[in-house]
Amino acid sequence: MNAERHGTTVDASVSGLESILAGTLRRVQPPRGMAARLRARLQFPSRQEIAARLRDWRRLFVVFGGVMSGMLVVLTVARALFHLFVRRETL
Amino acid sequence: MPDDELNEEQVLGRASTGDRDAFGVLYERYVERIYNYVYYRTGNLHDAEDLTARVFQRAMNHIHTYTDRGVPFSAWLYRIAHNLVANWHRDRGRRQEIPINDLPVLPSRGDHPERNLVRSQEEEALLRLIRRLPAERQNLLILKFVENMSNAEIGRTMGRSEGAVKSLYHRTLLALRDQLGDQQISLESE
Repeated sequence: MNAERHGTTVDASVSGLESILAGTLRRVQPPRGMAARLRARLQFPSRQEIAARLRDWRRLFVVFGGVMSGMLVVLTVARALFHLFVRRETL
Repeated sequence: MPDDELNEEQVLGRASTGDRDAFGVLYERYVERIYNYVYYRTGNLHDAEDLTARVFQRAMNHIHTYTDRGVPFSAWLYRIAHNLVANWHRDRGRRQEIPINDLPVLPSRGDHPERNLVRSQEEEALLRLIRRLPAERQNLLILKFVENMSNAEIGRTMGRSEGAVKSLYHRTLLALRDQLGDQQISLESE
C-alpha cells in the first residue's frame, strides 16, 4: 500500500516536471537573418536562385548543348585515332 | 524551388554527388532544428550560430560518405552537431559553469514576452540543471520536448531501442527531480 502510494507520488512529481520541461524546452526562433548569414558563409545559393536556375531554359539548353558537343569531339578524336593506328595496322 | 515536393532520398542522392543546390535544400529543411539543438546544448546565441554553420560545413564536406542505413538523415546531422558541441565544451572547459547572463531567453513560437520575463529566472535555473546532465540525457530531452519526437523516433535518431529510450527518459526525469530538490529550486507546473 505504502509502495503504491509512494509510486503515485513519484509519478505525480515526474508528470509535474514533464509539464515544466514542456514549457521550458520550447523551440526557439533563430535570430533574424541567421539563415541568410549562414547561407552566405557556406556559399549556398538562395532558394530563389535555385528556382531561377531551374526555370532558366536558355542556360539549361546551352549546358546540354555544350555537353553533347564535347562528347561529339571526344568521339571524333577517338575515331580518328582508331583509323590512324588500328586500321592502318590491319591493312 | 518547391523543396517539399522533392523527397529526401532524391535530394540526398543529388547532394551526395556534390550538388550544392540539393544540399541547399537540406540546409533549408534542417537549419532551424540544428540551431535549436546547438542552442540548448550551449546556451550561447553566438556560439550556437557559429556551431550551426560548422555543422553544415562539415556535413557538406562529408555528404559523399553518408549512406542510408534506415536511419534518418537528421540523425546524421545531430551526430555531427553532438560531436562539435562536445568539442566546444572541451575547448572552453565550461560545461559545468555557464554564466546566467549567457542564457538569454529567445522568443519561442506563440509566446507572450511578459510570460517569458516572468518565467525566465525559473527557466534559467532549470536549463542550467539540464546542461549539467550527461550529454545523452540532454539530447533526449531536446529531441523529446523541442523537436516533439516520439520515443521511437528518438530511438532511431540516437541509435537505441524504444524501450531503452523510455527507460533513459524516466531515469532522467527522476535525476532532474532529485537535483531540483537538492538545489531547493521550486518550479510550479502550469
